[in-house]
Amino acid sequence: MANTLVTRDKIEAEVRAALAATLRIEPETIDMDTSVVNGLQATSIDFLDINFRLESAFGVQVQTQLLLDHVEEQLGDGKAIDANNQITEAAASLLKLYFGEIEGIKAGMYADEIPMLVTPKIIADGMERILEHLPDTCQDCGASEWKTEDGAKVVCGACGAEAQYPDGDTLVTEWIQQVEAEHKLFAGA
Amino acid sequence: MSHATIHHGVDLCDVDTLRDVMTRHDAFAERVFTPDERAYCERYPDPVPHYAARFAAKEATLKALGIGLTPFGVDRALQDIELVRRGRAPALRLAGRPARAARALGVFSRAVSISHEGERALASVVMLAEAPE
Repeated sequence: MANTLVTRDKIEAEVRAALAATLRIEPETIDMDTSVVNGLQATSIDFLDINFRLESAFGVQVQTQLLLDHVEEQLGDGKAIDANNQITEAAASLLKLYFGEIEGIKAGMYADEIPMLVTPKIIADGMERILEHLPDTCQDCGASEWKTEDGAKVVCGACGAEAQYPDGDTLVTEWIQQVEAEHKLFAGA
Repeated sequence: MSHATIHHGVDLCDVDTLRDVMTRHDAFAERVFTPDERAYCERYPDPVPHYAARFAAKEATLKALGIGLTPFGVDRALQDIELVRRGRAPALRLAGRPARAARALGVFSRAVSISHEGERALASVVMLAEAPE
Protein backbone atom coordinates (compact mmCIF):
# COMPACT_ATOMS: atom_id res chain seq x y z
CA MET A 1 0.00 0.00 0.00
CA ALA A 2 1.13 3.58 -0.52
CA ASN A 3 2.94 4.92 2.50
CA THR A 4 1.40 8.32 3.27
CA LEU A 5 2.76 8.32 6.82
CA VAL A 6 6.40 8.92 5.90
CA THR A 7 6.78 11.93 3.64
CA ARG A 8 9.59 12.77 1.24
CA ASP A 9 10.40 15.81 3.37
CA LYS A 10 10.81 13.59 6.42
CA ILE A 11 13.02 11.16 4.49
CA GLU A 12 15.29 13.98 3.32
CA ALA A 13 15.38 15.44 6.84
CA GLU A 14 16.48 12.08 8.28
CA VAL A 15 19.14 11.66 5.56
CA ARG A 16 20.46 15.13 6.35
CA ALA A 17 20.38 14.37 10.07
CA ALA A 18 22.27 11.08 9.63
CA LEU A 19 24.91 12.67 7.41
CA ALA A 20 25.26 15.64 9.74
CA ALA A 21 25.61 13.52 12.88
CA THR A 22 28.20 11.22 11.33
CA LEU A 23 30.20 13.88 9.52
CA ARG A 24 29.82 16.49 12.27
CA ILE A 25 28.43 19.17 9.98
CA GLU A 26 25.28 21.29 10.08
CA PRO A 27 22.32 19.58 8.35
CA GLU A 28 21.23 22.76 6.58
CA THR A 29 24.63 23.08 4.88
CA ILE A 30 24.19 19.76 3.05
CA ASP A 31 23.53 20.06 -0.68
CA MET A 32 21.30 17.10 -1.63
CA ASP A 33 23.02 16.89 -5.03
CA THR A 34 26.63 16.79 -3.86
CA SER A 35 28.73 13.63 -3.88
CA VAL A 36 28.73 11.97 -0.47
CA VAL A 37 32.30 10.84 -1.06
CA ASN A 38 33.94 13.73 -2.91
CA GLY A 39 31.75 16.58 -1.68
CA LEU A 40 31.03 15.57 1.92
CA GLN A 41 34.27 13.60 2.36
CA ALA A 42 32.56 10.55 3.83
CA THR A 43 34.75 7.48 4.39
CA SER A 44 33.66 3.86 4.33
CA ILE A 45 33.17 3.73 8.12
CA ASP A 46 31.02 6.84 7.72
CA PHE A 47 28.89 5.04 5.08
CA LEU A 48 28.22 2.28 7.54
CA ASP A 49 27.42 4.67 10.37
CA ILE A 50 25.02 6.64 8.15
CA ASN A 51 23.24 3.52 6.94
CA PHE A 52 22.88 2.07 10.43
CA ARG A 53 21.41 5.40 11.57
CA LEU A 54 18.87 5.38 8.72
CA GLU A 55 17.95 1.74 9.26
CA SER A 56 17.31 2.52 12.89
CA ALA A 57 15.34 5.70 12.17
CA PHE A 58 12.96 4.06 9.67
CA GLY A 59 13.01 0.43 10.84
CA VAL A 60 14.19 -0.92 7.47
CA GLN A 61 17.09 -2.94 6.09
CA VAL A 62 18.88 -1.32 3.18
CA GLN A 63 20.57 -3.16 0.35
CA THR A 64 23.88 -4.91 0.91
CA GLN A 65 25.51 -4.58 -2.47
CA LEU A 66 25.75 -2.33 -5.49
CA LEU A 67 23.08 -2.49 -8.16
CA LEU A 68 25.54 -3.88 -10.70
CA ASP A 69 26.65 -6.61 -8.34
CA HIS A 70 23.03 -7.71 -8.14
CA VAL A 71 23.04 -7.86 -11.93
CA GLU A 72 26.18 -10.01 -12.00
CA GLU A 73 24.74 -12.28 -9.34
CA GLN A 74 21.50 -12.73 -11.25
CA LEU A 75 22.66 -12.72 -14.85
CA GLY A 76 26.29 -13.84 -14.72
CA ASP A 77 29.86 -12.55 -14.47
CA GLY A 78 30.84 -9.91 -16.99
CA LYS A 79 27.29 -8.81 -17.83
CA ALA A 80 27.65 -5.50 -16.01
CA ILE A 81 31.37 -5.17 -15.24
CA ASP A 82 34.04 -6.40 -17.64
CA ALA A 83 37.44 -7.91 -16.91
CA ASN A 84 38.99 -4.42 -16.82
CA ASN A 85 36.55 -3.40 -14.08
CA GLN A 86 34.73 -1.09 -16.52
CA ILE A 87 30.96 -1.02 -16.82
CA THR A 88 29.19 -2.25 -19.94
CA GLU A 89 26.74 -0.33 -22.18
CA ALA A 90 23.85 -2.29 -20.69
CA ALA A 91 25.03 -1.51 -17.16
CA ALA A 92 25.27 2.22 -17.93
CA SER A 93 21.71 2.16 -19.29
CA LEU A 94 20.48 0.37 -16.17
CA LEU A 95 22.21 2.87 -13.86
CA LYS A 96 20.56 5.75 -15.72
CA LEU A 97 17.16 4.13 -15.25
CA TYR A 98 17.87 3.68 -11.55
CA PHE A 99 19.58 6.94 -10.67
CA GLY A 100 18.00 9.19 -13.29
CA GLU A 101 20.11 11.34 -15.58
CA ILE A 102 22.88 12.23 -13.19
CA GLU A 103 26.15 13.46 -14.58
CA GLY A 104 28.99 11.02 -15.01
CA ILE A 105 27.30 7.71 -15.81
CA LYS A 106 28.75 6.27 -19.01
CA ALA A 107 29.79 2.94 -20.45
CA GLY A 108 33.49 2.33 -19.84
CA MET A 109 33.62 4.12 -16.49
CA TYR A 110 35.33 2.13 -13.78
CA ALA A 111 33.05 0.29 -11.38
CA ASP A 112 34.78 1.78 -8.36
CA GLU A 113 33.84 5.26 -9.60
CA ILE A 114 30.13 4.55 -9.11
CA PRO A 115 30.11 5.16 -5.33
CA MET A 116 31.50 8.64 -6.05
CA LEU A 117 28.25 9.48 -7.86
CA VAL A 118 26.03 8.78 -4.85
CA THR A 119 24.43 11.92 -3.43
CA PRO A 120 22.20 12.53 -0.40
CA LYS A 121 19.28 12.70 -2.87
CA ILE A 122 20.12 9.21 -4.16
CA ILE A 123 20.25 7.90 -0.59
CA ALA A 124 16.83 9.49 0.05
CA ASP A 125 15.52 7.91 -3.19
CA GLY A 126 16.74 4.53 -1.99
CA MET A 127 15.02 4.93 1.35
CA GLU A 128 11.82 6.02 -0.38
CA ARG A 129 11.85 2.91 -2.59
CA ILE A 130 11.79 0.75 0.53
CA LEU A 131 9.34 2.88 2.50
CA GLU A 132 6.76 2.94 -0.28
CA HIS A 133 6.34 -0.82 0.26
CA LEU A 134 4.45 -0.51 3.52
CA PRO A 135 2.56 -3.81 3.88
CA ASP A 136 -1.24 -3.74 3.74
CA THR A 137 -1.55 -5.36 7.13
CA CYS A 138 0.52 -5.91 10.24
CA GLN A 139 2.66 -9.03 9.93
CA ASP A 140 2.01 -9.85 13.60
CA CYS A 141 -1.71 -9.25 14.18
CA GLY A 142 -3.19 -8.65 10.71
CA ALA A 143 -4.59 -5.22 11.53
CA SER A 144 -4.34 -2.41 9.02
CA GLU A 145 -4.00 0.47 11.44
CA TRP A 146 -0.53 1.85 10.79
CA LYS A 147 0.54 4.96 12.66
CA THR A 148 3.69 6.92 13.33
CA GLU A 149 4.73 9.06 16.25
CA ASP A 150 7.83 10.62 14.74
CA GLY A 151 7.00 10.56 11.03
CA ALA A 152 9.75 8.01 10.35
CA LYS A 153 9.08 4.71 12.07
CA VAL A 154 5.69 3.16 11.34
CA VAL A 155 4.08 0.89 13.91
CA CYS A 156 0.85 -1.06 14.11
CA GLY A 157 -1.89 0.90 15.85
CA ALA A 158 -3.40 -2.32 17.20
CA CYS A 159 -0.41 -4.29 18.55
CA GLY A 160 2.51 -1.84 18.40
CA ALA A 161 4.72 -4.00 16.14
CA GLU A 162 7.06 -2.14 13.80
CA ALA A 163 6.06 -2.36 10.14
CA GLN A 164 8.12 -4.98 8.36
CA TYR A 165 9.19 -3.67 4.95
CA PRO A 166 10.82 -5.86 2.30
CA ASP A 167 14.61 -5.49 2.50
CA GLY A 168 16.58 -3.42 0.02
CA ASP A 169 18.15 -6.43 -1.71
CA THR A 170 14.78 -8.05 -2.38
CA LEU A 171 13.44 -4.84 -3.92
CA VAL A 172 16.53 -4.27 -6.08
CA THR A 173 16.38 -7.86 -7.32
CA GLU A 174 12.71 -7.48 -8.26
CA TRP A 175 13.39 -4.14 -9.95
CA ILE A 176 16.19 -5.60 -12.10
CA GLN A 177 13.92 -8.48 -13.15
CA GLN A 178 11.15 -6.04 -14.14
CA VAL A 179 13.51 -3.77 -16.07
CA GLU A 180 15.16 -6.67 -17.85
CA ALA A 181 11.77 -8.14 -18.83
CA GLU A 182 10.75 -4.76 -20.25
CA HIS A 183 13.98 -3.42 -21.79
CA LYS A 184 16.11 -6.57 -22.33
CA LEU A 185 19.26 -4.57 -21.67
CA PHE A 186 21.41 -7.60 -20.90
CA ALA A 187 19.74 -10.21 -23.09
CA GLY A 188 22.10 -9.66 -26.01
CA ALA A 189 25.08 -8.50 -23.98
CA MET B 1 58.99 -16.21 -19.35
CA SER B 2 55.56 -15.46 -17.91
CA HIS B 3 54.60 -12.04 -16.59
CA ALA B 4 52.30 -10.94 -13.79
CA THR B 5 50.71 -7.70 -12.78
CA ILE B 6 50.72 -6.50 -9.18
CA HIS B 7 47.61 -5.13 -7.47
CA HIS B 8 48.25 -3.39 -4.18
CA GLY B 9 45.88 -1.88 -1.61
CA VAL B 10 46.66 -0.22 1.69
CA ASP B 11 44.34 1.16 4.37
CA LEU B 12 44.58 2.89 7.71
CA CYS B 13 41.72 2.59 10.21
CA ASP B 14 41.24 4.94 13.14
CA VAL B 15 40.55 2.79 16.21
CA ASP B 16 38.57 5.45 18.09
CA THR B 17 36.32 6.14 15.11
CA LEU B 18 35.57 2.45 14.77
CA ARG B 19 35.02 2.19 18.53
CA ASP B 20 32.46 5.03 18.40
CA VAL B 21 30.55 3.47 15.51
CA MET B 22 30.58 -0.01 17.04
CA THR B 23 29.32 1.41 20.34
CA ARG B 24 26.54 3.29 18.57
CA HIS B 25 25.28 0.34 16.53
CA ASP B 26 24.90 -3.04 18.22
CA ALA B 27 24.58 -4.82 14.87
CA PHE B 28 27.80 -3.42 13.44
CA ALA B 29 30.12 -6.29 14.36
CA GLU B 30 27.65 -8.93 13.20
CA ARG B 31 27.00 -7.24 9.83
CA VAL B 32 30.62 -6.38 9.03
CA PHE B 33 32.77 -9.16 10.52
CA THR B 34 32.50 -12.93 10.10
CA PRO B 35 31.76 -15.19 13.10
CA ASP B 36 35.39 -16.37 13.18
CA GLU B 37 36.70 -12.81 13.05
CA ARG B 38 34.43 -11.84 15.91
CA ALA B 39 35.46 -14.86 17.95
CA TYR B 40 39.14 -14.01 17.42
CA CYS B 41 38.78 -10.33 18.33
CA GLU B 42 36.57 -10.94 21.35
CA ARG B 43 39.32 -13.02 23.00
CA TYR B 44 41.10 -9.76 23.80
CA PRO B 45 40.25 -7.42 26.71
CA ASP B 46 39.98 -4.62 24.16
CA PRO B 47 38.84 -6.19 20.88
CA VAL B 48 38.48 -2.93 18.92
CA PRO B 49 42.12 -2.58 17.73
CA HIS B 50 41.84 -6.13 16.38
CA TYR B 51 38.56 -5.31 14.65
CA ALA B 52 40.23 -2.18 13.25
CA ALA B 53 43.07 -4.22 11.75
CA ARG B 54 40.52 -6.50 10.11
CA PHE B 55 38.48 -3.58 8.83
CA ALA B 56 41.66 -2.11 7.32
CA ALA B 57 42.41 -5.48 5.69
CA LYS B 58 38.93 -5.55 4.12
CA GLU B 59 39.35 -2.01 2.82
CA ALA B 60 42.86 -2.71 1.51
CA THR B 61 41.52 -5.77 -0.31
CA LEU B 62 38.75 -3.74 -1.95
CA LYS B 63 41.35 -1.19 -3.08
CA ALA B 64 43.62 -3.88 -4.49
CA LEU B 65 40.68 -5.34 -6.41
CA GLY B 66 39.49 -1.94 -7.62
CA ILE B 67 36.01 -2.27 -6.20
CA GLY B 68 34.26 0.29 -4.05
CA LEU B 69 31.79 -0.01 -1.22
CA THR B 70 28.28 1.18 -1.80
CA PRO B 71 27.60 4.39 0.17
CA PHE B 72 23.94 3.37 0.29
CA GLY B 73 23.82 0.10 2.15
CA VAL B 74 25.74 -2.06 4.58
CA ASP B 75 27.91 -3.69 1.97
CA ARG B 76 28.11 -7.46 2.20
CA ALA B 77 31.49 -7.33 0.45
CA LEU B 78 32.90 -6.63 3.90
CA GLN B 79 31.65 -10.01 5.14
CA ASP B 80 32.95 -11.64 1.96
CA ILE B 81 36.53 -10.68 2.81
CA GLU B 82 37.72 -12.60 5.84
CA LEU B 83 41.06 -12.33 7.56
CA VAL B 84 42.05 -15.83 8.64
CA ARG B 85 45.11 -17.17 10.41
CA ARG B 86 47.54 -19.69 8.98
CA GLY B 87 49.66 -20.26 12.06
CA ARG B 88 50.77 -16.78 13.04
CA ALA B 89 50.55 -15.41 9.54
CA PRO B 90 47.32 -13.78 8.37
CA ALA B 91 45.71 -14.71 5.08
CA LEU B 92 42.63 -13.67 3.12
CA ARG B 93 39.57 -15.76 2.31
CA LEU B 94 37.38 -14.26 -0.42
CA ALA B 95 33.77 -14.99 -1.40
CA GLY B 96 31.00 -13.25 -3.35
CA ARG B 97 31.84 -10.04 -5.18
CA PRO B 98 35.49 -9.82 -4.07
CA ALA B 99 36.06 -13.41 -5.23
CA ARG B 100 34.43 -12.63 -8.60
CA ALA B 101 36.59 -9.51 -8.96
CA ALA B 102 39.73 -11.51 -8.16
CA ARG B 103 38.79 -14.12 -10.76
CA ALA B 104 38.14 -11.41 -13.35
CA LEU B 105 41.58 -9.93 -12.69
CA GLY B 106 43.25 -13.35 -12.91
CA VAL B 107 44.62 -13.21 -9.36
CA PHE B 108 46.64 -16.34 -8.60
CA SER B 109 48.44 -15.33 -5.41
CA ARG B 110 47.84 -12.84 -2.61
CA ALA B 111 49.31 -11.73 0.69
CA VAL B 112 48.10 -9.54 3.55
CA SER B 113 49.92 -7.91 6.42
CA ILE B 114 48.34 -6.05 9.34
CA SER B 115 49.64 -3.94 12.19
CA HIS B 116 48.11 -1.88 14.97
CA GLU B 117 49.64 0.49 17.45
CA GLY B 118 47.95 3.14 19.54
CA GLU B 119 44.99 4.59 17.71
CA ARG B 120 45.82 3.36 14.23
CA ALA B 121 45.52 0.01 12.49
CA LEU B 122 47.14 -0.59 9.12
CA ALA B 123 46.74 -3.27 6.47
CA SER B 124 48.51 -3.89 3.19
CA VAL B 125 47.31 -6.35 0.56
CA VAL B 126 49.30 -7.47 -2.48
CA MET B 127 47.86 -9.61 -5.27
CA LEU B 128 49.59 -11.15 -8.25
CA ALA B 129 47.52 -11.55 -11.38
CA GLU B 130 48.08 -12.92 -14.83
CA ALA B 131 49.27 -10.15 -17.12
CA PRO B 132 46.74 -9.26 -19.83
CA GLU B 133 47.53 -10.71 -23.28
